[in-house]
Amino acid sequence: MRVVAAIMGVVMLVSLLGGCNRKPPDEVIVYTALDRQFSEPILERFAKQTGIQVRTVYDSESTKTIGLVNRIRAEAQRPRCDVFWNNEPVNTIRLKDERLIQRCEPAEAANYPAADRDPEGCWFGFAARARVLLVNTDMVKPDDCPTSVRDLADPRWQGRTGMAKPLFGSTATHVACLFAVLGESEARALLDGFRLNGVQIVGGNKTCAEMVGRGQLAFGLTDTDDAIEEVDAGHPVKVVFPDAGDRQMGTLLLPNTLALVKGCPHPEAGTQLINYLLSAAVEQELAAGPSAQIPLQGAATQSSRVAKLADLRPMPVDFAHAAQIFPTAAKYVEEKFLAP
Amino acid sequence: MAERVPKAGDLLRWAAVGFHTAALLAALVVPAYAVLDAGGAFFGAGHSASLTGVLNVRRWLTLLENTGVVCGVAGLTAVVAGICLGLLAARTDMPGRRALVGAALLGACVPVYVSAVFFLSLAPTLLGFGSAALCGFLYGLVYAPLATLVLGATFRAAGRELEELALLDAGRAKVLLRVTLPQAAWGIVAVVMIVTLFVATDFTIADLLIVRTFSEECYTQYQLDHGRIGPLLTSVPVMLVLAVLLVVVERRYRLLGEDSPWEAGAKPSTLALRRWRIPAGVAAGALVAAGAGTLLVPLVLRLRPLAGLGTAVANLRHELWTTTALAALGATFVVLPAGGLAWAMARGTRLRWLVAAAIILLLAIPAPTVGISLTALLNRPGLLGAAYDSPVVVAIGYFVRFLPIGVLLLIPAVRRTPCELEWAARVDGCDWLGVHRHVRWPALRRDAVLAWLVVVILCFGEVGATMLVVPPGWETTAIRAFTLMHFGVYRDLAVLALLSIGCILLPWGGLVWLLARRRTCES
Repeated sequence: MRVVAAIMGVVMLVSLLGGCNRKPPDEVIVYTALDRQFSEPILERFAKQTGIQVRTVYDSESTKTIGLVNRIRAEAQRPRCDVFWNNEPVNTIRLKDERLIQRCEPAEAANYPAADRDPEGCWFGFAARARVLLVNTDMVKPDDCPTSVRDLADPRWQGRTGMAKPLFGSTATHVACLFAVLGESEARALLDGFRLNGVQIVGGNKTCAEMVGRGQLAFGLTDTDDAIEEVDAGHPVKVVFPDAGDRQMGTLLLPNTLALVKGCPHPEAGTQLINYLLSAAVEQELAAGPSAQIPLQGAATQSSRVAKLADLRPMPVDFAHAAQIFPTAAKYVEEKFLAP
Repeated sequence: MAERVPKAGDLLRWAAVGFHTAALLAALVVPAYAVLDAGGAFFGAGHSASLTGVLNVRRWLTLLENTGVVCGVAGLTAVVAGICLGLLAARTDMPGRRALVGAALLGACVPVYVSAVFFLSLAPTLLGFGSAALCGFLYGLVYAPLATLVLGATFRAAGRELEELALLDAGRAKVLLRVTLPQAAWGIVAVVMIVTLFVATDFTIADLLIVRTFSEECYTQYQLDHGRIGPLLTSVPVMLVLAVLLVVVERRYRLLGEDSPWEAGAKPSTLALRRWRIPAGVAAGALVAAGAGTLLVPLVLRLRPLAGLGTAVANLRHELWTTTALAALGATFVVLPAGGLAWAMARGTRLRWLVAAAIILLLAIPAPTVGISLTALLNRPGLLGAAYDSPVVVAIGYFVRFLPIGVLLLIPAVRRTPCELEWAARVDGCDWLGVHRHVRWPALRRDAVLAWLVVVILCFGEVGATMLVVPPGWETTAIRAFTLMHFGVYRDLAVLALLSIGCILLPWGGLVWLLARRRTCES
């Protein structure tokens, strides 16, 4: 018995010693909604270059973005996060509207178009993803290939299409943007069409892309970073940038956004990290990497494998308006997609 | 016996009473805060507008239905598997019974998130989103090994005399159906309760399959910008239902009292399988091997290509250390007061009803509610904030979640200790300290180690509370796996799941050794 107790004690002690690190003199705390596999190498490189230790909270796919945003809200009285690296702009703007993020001045921000950053210097956009339709080419003939998100409501595809839970992540943002661009009644009608047409609601955009790749869905609404992985894996899929025609609403482009949390414990290190992430090198890395993000600044010479910014017809959406209308859109989704 | 040290003994006595009361109150603060905060919101006019969605009766009925289906199917699956395997392991002469019990013990030690990864890797295309029955079935498979162990113990405790009398008038099969199984009813109820409690308070598989149970809804509502009032209110019905269930089951079956049926009497008769002995052994072995192989092989195949595997393992080192350390710390937090509380509960002291109420409340509280309450309680300036910022907050979450389990695991040890031993020690001149040193501690220490190992295993797989409080840079393996599994099973997740099983082997080995030693001592 004493041997067991001794082993227990040693295991605990060694574990504690091995697991605990002393608090480093300089650190920065990041909450990031960008998938860990894409963000972690970049943050590690920053830590290596600057000697500033980066402590990160990564997001969960099932409550993407919103979970982290609400965590920042819950900690508002005593913030623990320095930098919020969001993978979309709408919820960052909502945090700004709630005065939960603060102004900062990273030098690299000047290299980005004015439309991709906050005029008051509270958030900065970079490296975008697009909301696309991933089509299984074995299941969909070239002539029948969908070209618009409205095709999700087309009875031809009843029960054979999918999208992520529209309560979280870029899908929730997409819904808010549809509300902002189409107006509330048209957006509601469109989404009601999705629901009535049996669009399958799945766990996340990655799952949606995988289901298309495996042939479980004919096509699905997802993000370019998830879609491109299915292309790279050699599955019979094709990426369609929806609504790119002249009279259509355009493809939704969602830049990553960076913001310094108000009252954060390490504002200087936080600003330094934001500046690093806004550099052309990071944009190029994100473009060349597996997530194939689309660079927004002119200095980034690398084009994304999925598309060049110049070739796209972006949806003309006012993200600030989408942020204002987000609660209405979320309430609609909760009532319609979560209703008993 | 020890020398009488009146002053130091009295001081220590009061210190111990204070420590146990403080521990109990500290754990109770979390459900109490959840209930009071939710109650305040319910009666407060300020929140009424935003809570109309939360207070929707249809929504609560849907959640109740889904949670009922998930728990019901899980309980049924676990009980059916547990009866078959438990009977084979405990009441037959089948060869390889000990191996079967060892395998069941290992299966029971595997965290839910690892089981979820197994299922995902085995049949990603078969998983149906939104299916409560499938969710319940998967949970049932997860808890089938635990049910085998509990029902095996139940069958061992069945009265031998009654069966032998019945055998005079009826055949084996009839006696099994009419006598043995009814005698094991309390064990079946215990399994259903254990599975219900674990399933209803967890959301690992429910979230993966998008099944709206109370626990999953509580987590989702919190993430959905409903502050903490909405999710806390969401969790109140399930807390009440589980608490009432616990009280009813305890009153009906007296699982914890002095007349608890858990103690085995005379060794029950063994059912001779005769010509089916070897085939039954082979079939049980094949079933276990096929089950393990079916689950493990797809996962092992995902380790390819082997180049870079070392890096993948090294990348998970920090999470593994963190989880081991925090699980050990959490289990220590639990076991330190659990012995005293178990004594208070089983020996009917004044604290008994407080302990009983605390156990029922803590067992009934959904895991996300623990996380939400902890965030609200600890994220403040000062010492509480320092605890919230450190990994200790995760261990506190483990403490709140698993203190009742620790107490329940130690109650049998208390009941095995005859009251006469304490009286004899007092007659011999032992004071409070002496009684503890010479009677209570020796009676509890072996079970305390056992409870510590069990709680370490439970902490290792905790997701619901940890997910909401884990500080930056202190991710546990359970959280890493939970975030990864929504992307499908790739090499990182396969490595993580297999390493988690490797980590579980150490406490599992400890449990096997302790149980084997106890068996030797008893025989």
